[in-house]
Amino acid sequence: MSERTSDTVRPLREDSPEALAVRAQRGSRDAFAALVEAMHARLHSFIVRRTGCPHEAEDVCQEAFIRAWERLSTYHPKWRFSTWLFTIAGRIAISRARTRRPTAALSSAEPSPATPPPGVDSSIWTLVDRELSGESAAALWLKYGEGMEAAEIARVLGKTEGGVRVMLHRARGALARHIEPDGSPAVPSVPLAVVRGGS
Amino acid sequence: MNRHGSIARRLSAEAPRGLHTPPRSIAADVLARIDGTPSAPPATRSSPWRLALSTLALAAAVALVAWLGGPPASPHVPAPSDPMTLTTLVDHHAPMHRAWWMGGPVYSWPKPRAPAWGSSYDAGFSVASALRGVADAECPLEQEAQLLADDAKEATRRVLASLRLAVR
Repeated sequence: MSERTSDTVRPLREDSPEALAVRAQRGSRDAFAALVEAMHARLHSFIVRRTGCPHEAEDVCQEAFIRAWERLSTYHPKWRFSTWLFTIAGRIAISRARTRRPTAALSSAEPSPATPPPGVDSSIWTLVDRELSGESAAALWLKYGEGMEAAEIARVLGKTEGGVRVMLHRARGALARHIEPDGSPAVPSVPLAVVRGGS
Repeated sequence: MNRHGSIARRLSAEAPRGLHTPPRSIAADVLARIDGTPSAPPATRSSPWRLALSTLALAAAVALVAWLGGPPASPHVPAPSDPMTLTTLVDHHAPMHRAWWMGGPVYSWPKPRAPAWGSSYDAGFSVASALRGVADAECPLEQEAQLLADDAKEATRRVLASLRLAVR
């Protein structure tokens, strides 16, 4: 069963995604436009890792926002908007991947080919995007980029909470094998095939 | 473990550098595509009160139907074989869950015959009902409803296993 992100109703900041979503529910297109602007980069960062393809991520993001608008009435602000939106986008990405040809599906299982922007080569996230599977990288992003709990990640990725914890543990372990204890990059000696494809 | 901790700290600290900047804004495209497509009015079905009332009403309806002798047998769902295994029981629940989740006819499923089958039927129905309530509140997509229906199936399997019903 999917888990709730929170059982309590948090006070909403006026510019929070949740507050913008409530205003959009009342018919404000300006609020929805602000919501798109506020969430686009965050959603794109998740989906580009999930799909491994920046162009596909663009299409998924656009479709996800349109679907979110159509389904906005089902959103309740006591849930985090990001969890709700990312769940929609994740489902769309899965649906699109299923309808693609097998060759395309196979290529999507490869490590993310997303090219990091210049200047981030020393970031651990560059290592994540280069070495981990799309699903593992996406899970790490949801955990450390979005600050989601394992239960929320499970909901977004359609996995069990335990499965997510295992996936995160293996992903961190895989990264550790590529980083020296002093933090410098290590020469890869252990193939990461074991973590590719997630768990 | 310490390595995992240091990796986790780096992932958190460097998260802003992991943000993939989209190549362009899509807000204009999105607004153009939703132009003339009003969002559905805020629904009240996610209200906890409404959910609770719905659940109570459904439970009362189920109890009434059971007291009156149950729904007529459906020609669409084959009766489980006898002796029933746990697998056939759960598989038998699957179409019920699917129809239940997708808003299909509720009372067109076969009336259980054997006492054990009746108990398992109720257990499965309770699980499906509870999960349906969650789905009404949270489920944004039909696909997710299907996935959650699979969860319902698994939940039913666990309930039946714990009750040791109809397991040969």
